[in-house]
Amino acid sequence: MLTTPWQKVLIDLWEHRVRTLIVALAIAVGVFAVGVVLNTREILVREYRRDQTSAQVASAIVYTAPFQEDLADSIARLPMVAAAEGRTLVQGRVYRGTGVPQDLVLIVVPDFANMRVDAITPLAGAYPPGRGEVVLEQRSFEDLGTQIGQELSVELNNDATRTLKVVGSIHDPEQFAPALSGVAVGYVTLETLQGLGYPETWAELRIRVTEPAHDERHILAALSQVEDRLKESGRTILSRKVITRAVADPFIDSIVLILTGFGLVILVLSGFLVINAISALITQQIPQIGVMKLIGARRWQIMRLYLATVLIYGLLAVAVALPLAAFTARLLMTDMVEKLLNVMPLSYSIPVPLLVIQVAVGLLLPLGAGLAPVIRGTSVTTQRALTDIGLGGGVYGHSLFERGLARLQKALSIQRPLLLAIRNTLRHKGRLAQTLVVLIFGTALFVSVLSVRASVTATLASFMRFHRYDVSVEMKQPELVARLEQAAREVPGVVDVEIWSSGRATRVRPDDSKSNVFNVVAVPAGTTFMDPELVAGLPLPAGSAAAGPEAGVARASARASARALAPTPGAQPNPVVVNSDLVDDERDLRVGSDLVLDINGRKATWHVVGIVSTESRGPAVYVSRDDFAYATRAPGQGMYVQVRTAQHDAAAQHLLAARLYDHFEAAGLKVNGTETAEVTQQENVLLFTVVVTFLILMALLLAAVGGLGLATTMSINMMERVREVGILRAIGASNVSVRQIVLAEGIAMAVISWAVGTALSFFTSPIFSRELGLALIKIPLRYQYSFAAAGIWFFILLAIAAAASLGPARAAVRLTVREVLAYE
Amino acid sequence: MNENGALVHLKEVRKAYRTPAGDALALRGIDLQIRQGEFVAVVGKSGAGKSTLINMVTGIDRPTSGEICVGSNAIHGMSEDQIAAWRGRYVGVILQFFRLLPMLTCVQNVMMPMDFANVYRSPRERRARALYLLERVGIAEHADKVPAAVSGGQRQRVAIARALANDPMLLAADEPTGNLDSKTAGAMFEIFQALVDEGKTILLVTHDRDLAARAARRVHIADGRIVDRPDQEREVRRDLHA
Repeated sequence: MLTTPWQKVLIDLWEHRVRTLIVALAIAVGVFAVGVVLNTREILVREYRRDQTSAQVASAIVYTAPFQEDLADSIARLPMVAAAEGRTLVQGRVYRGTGVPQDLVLIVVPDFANMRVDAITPLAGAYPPGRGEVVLEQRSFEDLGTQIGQELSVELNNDATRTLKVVGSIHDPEQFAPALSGVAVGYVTLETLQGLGYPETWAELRIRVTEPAHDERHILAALSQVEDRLKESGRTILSRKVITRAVADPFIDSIVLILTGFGLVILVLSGFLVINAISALITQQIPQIGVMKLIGARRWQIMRLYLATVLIYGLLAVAVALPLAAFTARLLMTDMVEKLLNVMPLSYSIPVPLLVIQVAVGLLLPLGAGLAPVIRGTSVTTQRALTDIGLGGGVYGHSLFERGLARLQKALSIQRPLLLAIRNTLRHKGRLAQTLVVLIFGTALFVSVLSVRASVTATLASFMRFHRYDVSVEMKQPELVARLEQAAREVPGVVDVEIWSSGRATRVRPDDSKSNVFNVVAVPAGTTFMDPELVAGLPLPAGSAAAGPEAGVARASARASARALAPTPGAQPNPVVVNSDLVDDERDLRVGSDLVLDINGRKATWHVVGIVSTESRGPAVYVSRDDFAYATRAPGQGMYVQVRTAQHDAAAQHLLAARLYDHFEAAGLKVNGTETAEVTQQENVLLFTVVVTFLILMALLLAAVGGLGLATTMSINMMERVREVGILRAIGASNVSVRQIVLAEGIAMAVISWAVGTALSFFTSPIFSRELGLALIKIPLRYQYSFAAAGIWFFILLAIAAAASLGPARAAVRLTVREVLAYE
Repeated sequence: MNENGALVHLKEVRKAYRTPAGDALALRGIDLQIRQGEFVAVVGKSGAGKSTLINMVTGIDRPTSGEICVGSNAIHGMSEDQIAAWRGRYVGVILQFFRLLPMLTCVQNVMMPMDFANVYRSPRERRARALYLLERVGIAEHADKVPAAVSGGQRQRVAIARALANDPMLLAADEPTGNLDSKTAGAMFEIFQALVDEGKTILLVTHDRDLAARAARRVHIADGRIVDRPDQEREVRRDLHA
């Protein structure tokens, strides 16, 4: 049977259920934040790494002349090569029931049963696929609108349309979901490739080097051996791609960064919240502490009662937060990470040590936060405790602030009740400071997180500056520019047309080493279909394009021409504009540098005239279409038809894309694919969706901490001032006046913290935006402050202040004056 | 009992409170002895120092100077914690506003001092004693009610029962009838008298001279000093302001 002091503890917890709930919630927020961070990070990193390890991700991809498997076997026997396999990729498209085509890549695999590089994992159905059969990446089924057992009609880039039977699903951790990548993925055998009308050869060599398999220097050394072996076989490396990071690594790193950083902040703020709540609890208990001391309780006896109370708060918090954190972590994984980043967890289990850590946080956080208030509260003398009637002590009117307040009251004729509210706010300076710390940081971080979201939106808008058109039609082969333009203009709805070209290139460095392959985008002089932000230097000059037939294309709005790749007289030969991604990889590049490019086996020297921002598709260079035509010996030809319409909504764009496709095909112009700007935008949006979702979750947690902080302080303030309310009413204050005083106090705290927090957010927001951008896309985000977030948070705080104040105030004014004055 | 046979012995006890206007002397050199079994009433006007005096004896407050011995304990030298433990065991305190813990029932309130002092080891024994004490003060039927559910007089009876929980050598009551009507106050006094008849020592502070007259001995206090007669108050005040 419990003794009466312990019975008091339990009765107190139950009788003051609201307070118990508030304090337990304050602790639970911190435990939940820690739990979500630890659990999500554990599952994410563990399962991602396991996924990657099981896939035996390639260290490099080498492109050379078509080859047979024996070459791959020969490469695999090199000392620094752990495994080498051939792959061929076939582009195609599938027309779904909706009529909107879905791009499809078929990856040809030499030996499904014994993959040692970029391995895939069978999930369901038949494996390996047979002749005329395909297994699809699990995330591709929905986008293709198909199921296992159904047939897929695939329009291939060799003009053939073939039917493949879908026999199974697999998991390839190197492929994002089509919603993110824009491409569905399927896997077929070499036999099937031959049946599709392609030669039974390999187009790329996938190599996994010995450990460390993703160390750049080690990979380059191994590639040197590979190159020697290829030379022996009479081949050269056409281009290559060194893989030091998995495709999802930047996302994973960003998510971990967000989780860790914000989780820590939320834990600290939650700690302040708990200190505040327990301080207020102890303050309210002072008279009872006095009574216990009066009847013989020693300090340690009282301390253990309140520490036990705090521990029970912690247990309640853990009971709620622990399972909720586990559930939330799993939800984040299944609904976000798995679907978009295509991570396939085998287990969502949380190791016992992590659970122990969360329980420890739930118990130690309140104990740590409560120790000082408990020590302080139980050290009060019996006499002081018995004479404390909740009206505070001290002398009023001497401090600088109080004298200032008195002057202000005279100057502005502030009514005394309002003055009382302001003074009350400052009565418990320690508690006020703790509350304000929570609210200020909560405000600053909330606004910062939403500013990051606004920055993401602004950044995505800057990406779309590379795509100032509605529809892009990609041809299967280069066609005459004039013919393409004429055909495009014949389609109803087309307002403007530009013909672009593109290719792949590598940089030949001064030491004759080669870079990874990157894109070359060739645009007409004075293009208005692209106006990326210039980071340094100048846009592309016109060069010889000014005299050509395409000069008529250089029509631009006054604003666009200021930014567009506009003609500039006196241009150097072969001017090129590079993007910031390429500059990050090739750090010696500057405006004015000479850049030797190997395009389709032809080397030429180009002159860097400008650097533009990135659109997150990796390194790229931008050249004049005429210069590109000369470099590739394909004059007057283009590969891409960029089209503008009168209406820019998604439906109009899709309709025009279909019309263009049909018209071009009817005209004998073979189309490889079409893409609308809306789809391009969606892919970019999804790129950030995962990260922004985590940011918003953190913002919501911060809002909860901040709001709870204010609610805690206001509620407990009211609880300990019931007697003050009675005195006010005894001297004539109406219920309305009492409510006004209380409300003014809450609003004062909300306004002060909002103002300071918002000011702080002007410093924190750009830092967060920059760091997230660097982590995710290697460039700072295009910073944009979210005034809307500051406004929203202001009203949230006011609402919380009102709710937290008026509830207890209403309860207090319901008591009779006699009752409140006798309140114990 | 101290060396001169007194249960309570105050010697040259002074108490000064710090105020912004300077030190305010609440007690100005009190010498007082109370023998075992005495029923002593301390009377005086508001602000005379009555409550301060009783707080010195119970250890609730500490003297600025002087000596205070209760039983064989020199409490003026004890720490706050030591005094609390000592008080719980040897002194029962009854205050004007009852000071019961509102969330506990009457019997739980009476049991609490026993739990802190760890006397009457088994919980069953403590409950039995608590019920006995409530019976003694005439409210056993309200044992399982919380203080808010009983009247002011009944709450004071519970406070008396609580004060008796550990069978203290001294009962100290500060204005125990201040919040009660005259009839109830009279009933309280009967209880005190019965306790004295059983051998308890009671120190009672009251401003009610009629009630004080019923005590065996009255100590008049005025402006922090013990005076022999009430009419000496005027002389004391004149001396002070001279």
